[in-house]
Amino acid sequence: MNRAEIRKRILAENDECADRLRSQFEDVGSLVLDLVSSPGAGKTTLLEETASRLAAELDMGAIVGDIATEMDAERLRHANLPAHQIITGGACHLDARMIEEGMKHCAFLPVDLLFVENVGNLVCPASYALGEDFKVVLLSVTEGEDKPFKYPAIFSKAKVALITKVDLMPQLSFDLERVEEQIRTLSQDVRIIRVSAWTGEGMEEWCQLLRQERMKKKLATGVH
Amino acid sequence: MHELSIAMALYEACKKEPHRPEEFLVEVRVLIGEFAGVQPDLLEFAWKACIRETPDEGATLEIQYEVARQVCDQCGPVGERQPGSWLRLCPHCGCPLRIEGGHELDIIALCFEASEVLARTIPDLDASTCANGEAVRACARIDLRNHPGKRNRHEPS
Ligand SMILES: Nc1nc2c(ncn2[C@@H]2O[C@H](COP(=O)(O)OP(=O)(O)OP(=O)(O)O)[C@@H](O)[C@H]2O)c(=O)[nH]1
Ligand SMILES: [Mg+2]
Ligand SMILES: [Zn+2]
Repeated sequence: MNRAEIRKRILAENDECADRLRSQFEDVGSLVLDLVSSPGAGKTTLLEETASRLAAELDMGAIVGDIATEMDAERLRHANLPAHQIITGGACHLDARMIEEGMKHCAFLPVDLLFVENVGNLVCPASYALGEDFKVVLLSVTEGEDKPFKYPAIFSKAKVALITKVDLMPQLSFDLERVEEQIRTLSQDVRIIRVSAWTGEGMEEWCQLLRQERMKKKLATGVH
Repeated sequence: MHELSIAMALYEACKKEPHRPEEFLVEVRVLIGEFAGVQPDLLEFAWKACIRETPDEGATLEIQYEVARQVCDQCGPVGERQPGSWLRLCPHCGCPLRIEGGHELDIIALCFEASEVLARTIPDLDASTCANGEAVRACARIDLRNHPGKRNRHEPS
């Protein structure tokens, strides 16, 4: 009998692949964000709006994961954001291998700022590193205020939490303070921004954060 | 939802751990944190599906579930909590609490056991020829499934 006590990540292979990606992104100084939310929280709309606001300042691109269809990548291209669609064919999350494979088809790389729009799902994407600088979680005000405690993994991991569709607040009884309190309980240093892609509320704060993070990455990697 | 991907990654990771070619996986122990997004029953179900009709069919998966800890920088860890219930502030001093752990998704122990039949079939293979051993094991699988040596290891002795 050969019994061994070890300590090894089950997803070690994914982590190794993510490390390779991270060092590739560092070589070119790209800031990479992984956007995670439940289906329809507004990831693609946020990117369309972000692209139009930052187009003059930053080179940007997107890799979009969906279980089926090219529709999100088409929407982003239409908004002048070069985009590659990964069709996961049933998988409920992107993994590092899919990104590595997908990047072979991204003629637009390298860029200053690469967005990864994950498959709409608040659970599974939290476990998979993709070589990103950090994860951004989106929660729309129509989803109800109990979500952070129901899906603590992603809220405890994300560095930025966007509360989206805040233009709908007058129609709803969504307790913003309570949600933000839950998010802060799960992560002490999370940055929370209330946004609406419709009215533009919070969009400047979000874009400012992107500019700053991109600048930090540029200085840290020495790539200009 | 992603227990099947996790189970597949787990099996691949187990096979990569050093063992002799005539050895089978009999047990793997994993540590699953509260934040891992993994339902223990579903993982066990997916595990059985993954090892079905492989030389390692029957290997048991033991899951150790770990609740995330809330910690106060002044007073230390807050006592036992139920999964899903959280404190914003320390009950003693009122400081905001930090969360430690919860994201674990780790293999913590593995057990391989030699099959007598395989040991006889491939006596000279050592761990360095494991890849070769894999093939031999796969070929021998059909015979082994009915062999008492293999059956015994799943029955309490
Ligand atoms: N009122 C309002 N609606 C919005 C806002 N942002 C997005 N929506 C709407 O929400 C719906 C879903 O938006 P998407 O951007 O497609 O959401 P998504 O997260 O990319 O969806 P999946 O990729 O399918 O997970 C669309 O009908 C959008 O028009 C917003 O700020 N305010
Ligand atoms: Mg989308
Ligand atoms: Zn305290």
